[in-house]
Amino acid sequence: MRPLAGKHAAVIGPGRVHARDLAQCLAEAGATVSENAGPEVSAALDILVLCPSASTARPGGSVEVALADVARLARWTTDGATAMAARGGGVIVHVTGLAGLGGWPGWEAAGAAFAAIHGLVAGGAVRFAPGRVRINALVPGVTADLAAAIAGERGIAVDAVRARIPAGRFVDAAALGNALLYLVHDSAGYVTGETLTVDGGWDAWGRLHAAATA
Amino acid sequence: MSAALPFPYDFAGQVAVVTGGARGFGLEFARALATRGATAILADRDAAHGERAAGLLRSEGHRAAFVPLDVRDPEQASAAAAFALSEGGRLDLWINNAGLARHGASEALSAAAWAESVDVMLSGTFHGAQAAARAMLPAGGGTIVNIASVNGLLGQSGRAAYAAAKAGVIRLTAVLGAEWAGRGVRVNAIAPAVFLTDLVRASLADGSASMDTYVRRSPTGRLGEVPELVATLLFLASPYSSAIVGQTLRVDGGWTADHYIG
Repeated sequence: MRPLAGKHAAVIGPGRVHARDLAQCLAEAGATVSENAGPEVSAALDILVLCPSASTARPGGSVEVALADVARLARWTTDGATAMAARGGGVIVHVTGLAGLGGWPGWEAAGAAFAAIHGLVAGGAVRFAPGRVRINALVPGVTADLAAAIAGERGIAVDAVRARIPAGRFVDAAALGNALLYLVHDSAGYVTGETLTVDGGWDAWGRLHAAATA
Repeated sequence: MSAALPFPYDFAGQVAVVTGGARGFGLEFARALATRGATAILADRDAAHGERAAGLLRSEGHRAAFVPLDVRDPEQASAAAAFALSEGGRLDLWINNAGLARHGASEALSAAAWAESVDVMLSGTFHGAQAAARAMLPAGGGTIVNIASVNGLLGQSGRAAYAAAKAGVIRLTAVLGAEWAGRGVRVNAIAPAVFLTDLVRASLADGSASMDTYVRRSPTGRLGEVPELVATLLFLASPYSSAIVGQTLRVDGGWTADHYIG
């Protein structure tokens, strides 16, 4: 299946978190994908994927740096959505993180940036809905790479991070790619302003009792 | 009705129970799953409509059967799960869709009307999920999808029982999702805004809502179209969403994102 055949997509990267994998997913689904350091708003884009910088999505980051990245992402969102609306519609997906949904001590800068982006998504979704531009967030759960960062920051074993996930496994690139495909496909035409969390139950679980076992 | 979809969904050999399956969303969900190979078990308290709907699906070339179910009764939920196992030898999918709409001023809401909404939509969802999980957990897996509502996410005057029940469904989904994910049973929910279904037609007919009000409340300026809801149901029912657990996916045209002045 090439469900995105004929679609033009841009993924802001390379080097941004998840950008490479998500660009590959869109390409495999048949889209023509450009990966670049900023969206070519003059180009005829159907799909724009905006990923956080590596300096944003990490523990101990700087709020100033993270929010400067948010300002760039906000500008690209507005420019991209405006251009899409002028052409009859499109879809924008912001990749954020779990620290934007709840408290992650040590990750406040990342959390502030992600929560700010969730605000951009909600406001932008409403603002651009009449122009048939959909704007959503994709919230990746804990991947093996992120687990290593958490384990390093807390000085614990990676297995202890895995045990925090009700599904008992890390989120992989395929799961994130599938969620992106769900969001950007035309069949999701009534999905906008959503924060789609793909995390094996991390965010749903209240963390008082053991997660994965009976 | 089969618009293009992002994945080659295939439920061949699987057995799916859809509560409230005799009509509306429920029948559309059942048809969508059956079209892609599943045996659809339409569970509904309306036997006449349910038998007719199952016959309709069979006449379209699908595998379908009706089982009587009042979701308020946990024993009937267990019996429906047992029926699915006897029909198809397995139980893969359970869609908690049964619902009803009772609107009116909260100060005038009767205890009976409150209880009926909560019993059907919240307790009924729990009874259904429990009956499903009792079959799925020993088998090592299964998928449950609960139908919530944007009214479970935002306050809506005149809909106290409906909104409270749907909010309960959303939190129940988180609990069951987290509790059973490690044993292969995945639970998620969908929160639709307004789609032109029987319930919405009833609200339009009894004057508790108007099309103009709905459209003006919708950032997209239109109601949802049923295939747009079916697309999310298929995604959550399929392994393509295997890392999504305990979540409520909104299919609402920006309804819940919009907190401004309108």
